[in-house]
Amino acid sequence: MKKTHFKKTALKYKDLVYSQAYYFINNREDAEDITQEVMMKLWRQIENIERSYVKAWLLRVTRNLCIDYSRRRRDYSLDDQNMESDGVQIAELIDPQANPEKEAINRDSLENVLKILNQLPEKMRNIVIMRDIQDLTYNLIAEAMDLPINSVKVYLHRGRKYLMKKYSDIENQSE
Amino acid sequence: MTCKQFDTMLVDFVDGNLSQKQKKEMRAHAETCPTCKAILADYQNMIGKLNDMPVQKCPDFVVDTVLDAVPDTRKSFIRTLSERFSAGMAWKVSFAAALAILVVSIVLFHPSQPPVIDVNQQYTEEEIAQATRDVKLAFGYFNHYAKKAEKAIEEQVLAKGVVEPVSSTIKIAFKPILNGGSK
Repeated sequence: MKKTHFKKTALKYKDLVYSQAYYFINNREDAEDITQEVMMKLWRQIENIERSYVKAWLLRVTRNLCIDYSRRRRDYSLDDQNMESDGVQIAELIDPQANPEKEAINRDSLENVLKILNQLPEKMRNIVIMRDIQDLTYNLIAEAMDLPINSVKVYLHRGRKYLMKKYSDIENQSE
Repeated sequence: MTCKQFDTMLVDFVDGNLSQKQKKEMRAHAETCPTCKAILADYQNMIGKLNDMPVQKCPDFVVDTVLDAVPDTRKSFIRTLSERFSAGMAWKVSFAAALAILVVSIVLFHPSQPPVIDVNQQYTEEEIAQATRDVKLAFGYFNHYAKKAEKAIEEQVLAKGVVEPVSSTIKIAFKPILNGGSK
């Protein structure tokens, strides 16, 4: 019974957790490790979590683990920040069917957005990912972040404006 | 509308969460203020870029590894049976009654009663030793299952208050036998 419920929940939300971790941490291996840790925690706690709260709980645990991983990475790697993610992994985000010119523009654009997304402060970054990439509701984000909806909107607005400014700086530099 | 008000309402405006009147005011302000108009365009452009980021597919092995690592939680037959009955009192009462009958039987046929010996019946020493071993083994089994029953009680299948006195009576009754006849 427990395992069936766990399996169903894990399969349903694995992409949500993985995406959140991937965009936050910007590293595929770490995102896989985080997803596994989240799922192990889910296994231990699943009987104590209300079913209506599972999604928010998963996002909350993912967020905490992402913060831990970021701290560790900051401690151990000061210079090679996201070296592999900037090149290899961006290519995987691009639709292989797209035409080469469009692909090049998309690639640059995504690279830049990912790069600046990674510079956002933790709360803003999590909220922007949840709202604008994962398309989650304000209610769910507020629950996951343990913030009132209005605060979520404020962080989101600031995050978007920060990204806008940084993005235009990068665009201006490359011109 | 001021530029500050425009900025404050931007999140709700792009989400379409404003009233018709407020939307009209926002559009009117954007038409008259080139700065806010540019901000709106950049803002929507940035949201578009973020929306274009695909949801990442988690590799299958990530969850498969976890599923392999967690134990199979299929419950034992006894546990399932216990849980099925634990909801109602009927099981508790019938189990307690069975134990009570057992205790009464033990008291009635307690080995301290003087045994009726058929003087005509002759057994060899070896037969008596074998019989003693068999009886001890039988009581050993009984003791083992009595402990299991105690465990079931601890797991709240039966109320402790009902069974503990019965359980201790069994132990007292069997003590001389299990200790090889010594009290």
